Amino acid sequence: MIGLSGILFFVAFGVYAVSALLYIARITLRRSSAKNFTLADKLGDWGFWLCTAGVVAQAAGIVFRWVGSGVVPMSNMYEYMSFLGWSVMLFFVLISYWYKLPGLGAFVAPVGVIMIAYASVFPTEVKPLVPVLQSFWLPLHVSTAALGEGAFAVSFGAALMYLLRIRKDGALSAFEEKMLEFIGFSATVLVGFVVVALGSKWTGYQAILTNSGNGAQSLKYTLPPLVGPVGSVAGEGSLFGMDLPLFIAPGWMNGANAGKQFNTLIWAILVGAVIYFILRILVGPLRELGSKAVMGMNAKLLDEVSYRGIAVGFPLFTLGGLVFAMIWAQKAWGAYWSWDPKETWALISWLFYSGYLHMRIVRGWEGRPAAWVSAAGFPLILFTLVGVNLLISGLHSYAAG
Amino acid sequence: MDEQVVTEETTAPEPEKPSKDFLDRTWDFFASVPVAVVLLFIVAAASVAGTLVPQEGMYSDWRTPSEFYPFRYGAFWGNLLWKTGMTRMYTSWWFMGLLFMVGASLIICSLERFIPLWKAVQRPNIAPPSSFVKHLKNRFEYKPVAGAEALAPLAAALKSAHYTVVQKDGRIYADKGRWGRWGPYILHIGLIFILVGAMVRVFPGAYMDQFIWVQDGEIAKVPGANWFVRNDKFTLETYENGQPKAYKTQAVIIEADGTESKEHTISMNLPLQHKWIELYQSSYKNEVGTAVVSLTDRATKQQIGTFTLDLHQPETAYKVGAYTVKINEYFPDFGLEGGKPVSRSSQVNNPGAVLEVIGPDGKAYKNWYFVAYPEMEFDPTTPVTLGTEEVTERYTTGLKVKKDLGIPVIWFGLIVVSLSVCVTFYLPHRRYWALVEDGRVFVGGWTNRNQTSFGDEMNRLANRIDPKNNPLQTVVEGEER
Ligand code: HEM
Repeated sequence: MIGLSGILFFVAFGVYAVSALLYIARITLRRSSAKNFTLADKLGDWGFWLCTAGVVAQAAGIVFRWVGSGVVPMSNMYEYMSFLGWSVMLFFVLISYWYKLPGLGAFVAPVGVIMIAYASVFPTEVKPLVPVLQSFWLPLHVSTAALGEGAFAVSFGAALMYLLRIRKDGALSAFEEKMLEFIGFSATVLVGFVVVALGSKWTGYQAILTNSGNGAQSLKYTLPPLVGPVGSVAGEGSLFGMDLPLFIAPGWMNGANAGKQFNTLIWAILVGAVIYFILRILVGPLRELGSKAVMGMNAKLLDEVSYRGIAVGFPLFTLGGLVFAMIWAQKAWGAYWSWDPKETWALISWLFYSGYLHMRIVRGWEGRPAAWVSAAGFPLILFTLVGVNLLISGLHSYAAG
Repeated sequence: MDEQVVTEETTAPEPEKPSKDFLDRTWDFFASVPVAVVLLFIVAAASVAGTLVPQEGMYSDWRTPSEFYPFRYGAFWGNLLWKTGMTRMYTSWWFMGLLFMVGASLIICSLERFIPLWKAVQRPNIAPPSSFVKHLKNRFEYKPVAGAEALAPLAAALKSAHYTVVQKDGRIYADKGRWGRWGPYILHIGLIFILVGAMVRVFPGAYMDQFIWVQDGEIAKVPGANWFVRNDKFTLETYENGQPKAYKTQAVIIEADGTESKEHTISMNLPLQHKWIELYQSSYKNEVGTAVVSLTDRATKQQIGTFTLDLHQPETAYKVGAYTVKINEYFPDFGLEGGKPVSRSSQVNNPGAVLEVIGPDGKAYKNWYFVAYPEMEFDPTTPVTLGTEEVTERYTTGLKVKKDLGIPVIWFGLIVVSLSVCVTFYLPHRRYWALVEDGRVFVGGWTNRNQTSFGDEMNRLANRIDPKNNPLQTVVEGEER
């Protein structure tokens, strides 16, 4: 059962990746010449059906894993991230169907693909649940929150498309132009992060470094240590004969894992920057590329789709991220709210999105300003999910995988 | 939202008064949605700050806050953070102040808009000017079949789509999903319940957060209550790989008069609830409980017998067959200080005792006995040797004792929020107006959400009533998608 579920996961992943490529090919073809419209739209239809099939396959995979292990598959990072990827794809399929907007695929499908690739970085074995996680509020809390986040991801894609669309009308300030390009760059850094993580998993690279940070004596690096933890010395690790670490983390980074996380961040930025500059040389600024992709689309429609993603996701996120979370915390710890960093960041995201919703009812704030909030909202969600685990620890640190 | 309807429906017509006093201006400030938006973002930003600065009680360092923050951030910044309450952000006066402003804004904004909205939704204008209907963004026209009642097909179609249809003076007004409009207001009320529920704890006696240790078999008084809890047995279950699987305490509630009123196995996620107080499984410790001590004849190596020594409260003497063992001195946590035997604590960590064994012949021999090291004898000439056959463990369960009278209020608020947030976003309010002019029927529609699917619904409706003039639209032609 669990083996089958693993196969279905990879099938779904492959299918999503192909469909994302099809969507990108569709847009590219449509931009090349009117002759290609029929072929392009055929590719778009294929993309849609593949995506739908992937969603079904992955759903089956999730159910099989559940049945096979007897534990709701919502308790470690692998399960959680792949569920999140599934929910992004699910809402993408739904919303692009409602609005007959295949153009969304070129922007949202890759988000789902990256998420699932990231999920596969984590160990996939089923681990028995520690006592605090043995509650049916856990899967309820996690899955509902993830569904809401999936819808937010679709809104994020549509908001970006909206901004890229209106920038052609000269609606954006120089600063906003820079921000758009920065979002593009950040996306390549995320890709870099996933590439680096997968690379370290596949090559099995390891280096043991001395660590005088809090808590541990030595630290296992799974990436070549450009930055060593406080206390390490050059030569403890190496890459192609080069003595590593090149330099040591600054003294204030004295968390047990701080040096290692800093190293991961540097690798992600390096790889991301390389990808970014290759793209930049090949196709020019990413925002230009994006604008070309959304050329001719209806800005009002994109705006509505972006709003719809949040309108669908907000109730789900409210239930999953706050209501169920509070009930569970009360049952497990006897405190419905303890200002734990993860909790607080969920609240921050929720306040942020409720800010968005209220902006929609203020004249003059409902278009471009709101789109920026939606575009910033999903990175905020990602930070809550991944960043908080890496950078701030707390009660939820089980999720660090 | 359609502009015209916004002005018609939701803006309170408020004539500008010549001079406003302070109260009026405060009211206006909190009645403004832009102010609310800014407040929400400020609370979000303030919460971020609270996760970046390690909060008091959360950092892992032995220093007190007044020492820790200057140490961590330098004298200036550390003291600044500490003095301004950034280090206990979520209880600081200014965070409370912000929440209070959000609450005020929530209440005043809702009050300000509720009555106009109530009128617009519950007592709609059935016969607005025809220009209003004709200028709605969503609209269509149809030509009634000659001789038939012009509005009848529309009324029938709307009724079959579960609309509430009002027909009067040659006009139609139909709507559905009114609750969707009340959603935000109910949601805000739910949020206020949550805020109020969280504040209940400031009342004396409404809140308590304590902790008790209860040994297996012992009874403990529950703080803040006039009843007791007995721990019959704590169990720690583990998986095969040694990872903990369950922590359980078999607990019995004992009232002040001694009656046992409740039995419950407390475990993670399954607290025991009794008279507004909840007991949560939150910790445990594991100590030695008793030792089975054996007496052996030194010469023949024949065992004489055994007795069970209670390591927490040893008896003064035990009988083993014809022998008597007296406990002369007992050190639950044996150590030496200045060459003298002492007990370092009252915990049973390294139990040691001076035993006096009295044989059948009435002769007494003293010797040291250590439970963990029975072979460490001080007098190897006594006729009887002592040995440890078995040591049993005794668990102590750590229970969190929690009382919060705000919880029911919070739960109620959460239910209200859950229902209303779904109603708000999943139940759109859709309205139709129709009128007859120049032998044609003009139909206009408005919705507060999901414009596209409302447009589709309208298009299908128009097509059903008058297919010739209203073809079904599928994908908008000529527009990139
Ligand atoms: C600062 C305090 C707040 C004020 C003054 C405020 C005010 C308002 C107002 C005036 C509306 C419009 C109601 C209507 O359409 O008739 C509204 C809608 C709404 N409010 Fe609030 N609100 C506040 C806080 C919140 C918070 C913290 C949430 C959290 C979930 C929230 C959730 C909503 C939602 C979901 C809507 C519906 C939005 C929509 O129609 O798209 N509000 N709020």
